[in-house]
Amino acid sequence: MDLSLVIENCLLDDRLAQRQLYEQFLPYALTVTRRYGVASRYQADVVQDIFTEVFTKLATFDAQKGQFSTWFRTIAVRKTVDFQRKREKLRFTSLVAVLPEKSPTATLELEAVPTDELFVAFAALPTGFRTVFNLYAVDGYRHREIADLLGITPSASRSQYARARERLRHHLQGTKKKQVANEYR
Amino acid sequence: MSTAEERGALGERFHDLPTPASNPELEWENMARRILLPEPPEEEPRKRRAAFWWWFGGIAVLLAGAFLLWPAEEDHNPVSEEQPTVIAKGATTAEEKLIEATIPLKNPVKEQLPATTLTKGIGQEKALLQVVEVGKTVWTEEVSSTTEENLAPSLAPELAQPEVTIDFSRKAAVVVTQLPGGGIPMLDQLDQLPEVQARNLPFPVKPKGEASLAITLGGGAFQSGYAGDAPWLAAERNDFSPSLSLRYERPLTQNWFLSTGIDLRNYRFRTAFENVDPDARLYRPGTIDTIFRNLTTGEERTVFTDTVPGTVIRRFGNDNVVTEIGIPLLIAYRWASKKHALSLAIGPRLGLVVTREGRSLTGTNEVRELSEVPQFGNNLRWSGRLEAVYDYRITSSISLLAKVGGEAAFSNWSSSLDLKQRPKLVGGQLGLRFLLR
Repeated sequence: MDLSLVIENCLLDDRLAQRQLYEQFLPYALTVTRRYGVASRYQADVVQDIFTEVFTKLATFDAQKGQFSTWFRTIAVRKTVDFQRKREKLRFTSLVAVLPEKSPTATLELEAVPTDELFVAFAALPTGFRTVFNLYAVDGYRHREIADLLGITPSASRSQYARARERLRHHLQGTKKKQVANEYR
Repeated sequence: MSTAEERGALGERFHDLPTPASNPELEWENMARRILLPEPPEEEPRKRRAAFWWWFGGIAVLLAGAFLLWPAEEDHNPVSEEQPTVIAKGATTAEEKLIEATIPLKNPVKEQLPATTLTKGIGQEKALLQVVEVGKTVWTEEVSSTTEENLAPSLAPELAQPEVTIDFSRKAAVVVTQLPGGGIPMLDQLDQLPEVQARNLPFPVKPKGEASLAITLGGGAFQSGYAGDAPWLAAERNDFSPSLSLRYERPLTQNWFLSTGIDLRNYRFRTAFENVDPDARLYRPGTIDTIFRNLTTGEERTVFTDTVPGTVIRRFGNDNVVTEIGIPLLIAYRWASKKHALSLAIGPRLGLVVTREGRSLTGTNEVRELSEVPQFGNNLRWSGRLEAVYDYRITSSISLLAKVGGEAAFSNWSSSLDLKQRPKLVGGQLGLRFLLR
């Protein structure tokens, strides 16, 4: 399936093409919502927001400037973060001071961790930490961009990221120990 | 790996993941209607709600307007300017010596005439005037020094102190005027009395207080008043709740006032939802609780939990705002000197909720929008209000006022039968009062 043709037909209001685009990118949209911890009962609402924006602004997509998947991801991430900000406003602010700030000395080795386990580890993070971690480590935003997106300062973004990775590391270490203990039981 | 290198490092890990379990809501047939023809979400109920409040607001403004424009007093003269008519005269025979008369008065004389005989005589030469209470028996007195000369000799002794019984259906002024030929009427001449002009009564009418319009700004501490079967719900913190009031006071007498108007109030509070779970299960190594198996990859993951009885779980807290328009109707008593005045007022207040913003929790620990939950669910709220107001007059028509007051809900604010919510409020306001003359 030629994606550029699908997009072209979508712009002509071709329902079949719109369906193709939707079904092709729905898994990715759901992955983004899962990463950012959107509860399953709200997933349809977020997906609706994402694809409404995609179809509304499809005419502005310029293939010369970048890939469609990158353009789609930007919309998906922003819409998901917006949704989380509205629903989880408190957690962004109240959990900032839960942990003392630490310099990120220990390395964060995530290559060997199964993706499914990473989802579980993300889910265990407070919303604020999870959002900043996802924006930085997964979606590649700079701290300055995260600060603009979340309405916080770049230093707060850096601080939250450091705390998030520390928590993530602890969580994954704990899980590993449990697995080892089970193997020897 | 340094943190700089970590930026975007996990990006590729989340591409091309398998589609999660199907969700009917995410099927294209269902989603297409939401995406391509987006329905305005709940626009109609919102409009209906807005119309409802506009309707209520309109009624409130009309009531307030009618109250403001109602003539408090056309004239300080308690007697109508129209010629009063003597509509009944009693027996005029000297033997009976009883006179019954009623002069209908249009203005609310009953409010201004004193309860007992006040005064007599517009002038010795002209008339004898008495103001009497309903059913009061009074003694008339001579009007002029020429009385005895003009009296019929047979009536002279009686007229010296004739007994007049007034049998009125209400308070009234009785005016006995001079006869056309001079002198005062004798009892058998009373039916010759001309209709009297009973205005400009000379007796001192106690002045009423002055109507006023006050605008005040302030706020108070709000206690959200959860009670009953809601141990999982508690207000964590009450912020300053600002309010703006426009109040009209109409005098009833010199000291008694009726006070009404419109208040705009923002209740601000933060709710924390706590739950003491007797069988809380927390992640803790030691006990295998559940094994999750990924049906796609076959990977198994074990979740370790342990039971921790009596654990207090704080679910979450949220900042809430409830905006309300209120209409108080208070009766006030005022003590006033030249510059200072102090008044106490008490009465009911009807609150109309305009908006509810924030989130709350149901009894089943479900997080929902504040506008959808039973707490704060009733849009009409009755409460009782008590307030004390100090006025300092800075010009002849403007005074500075400071108000402190308290309120307690009469009615349950919750629309749930199980959950009782009777908030209380204590606060103060500062503002200006403009005397209306």
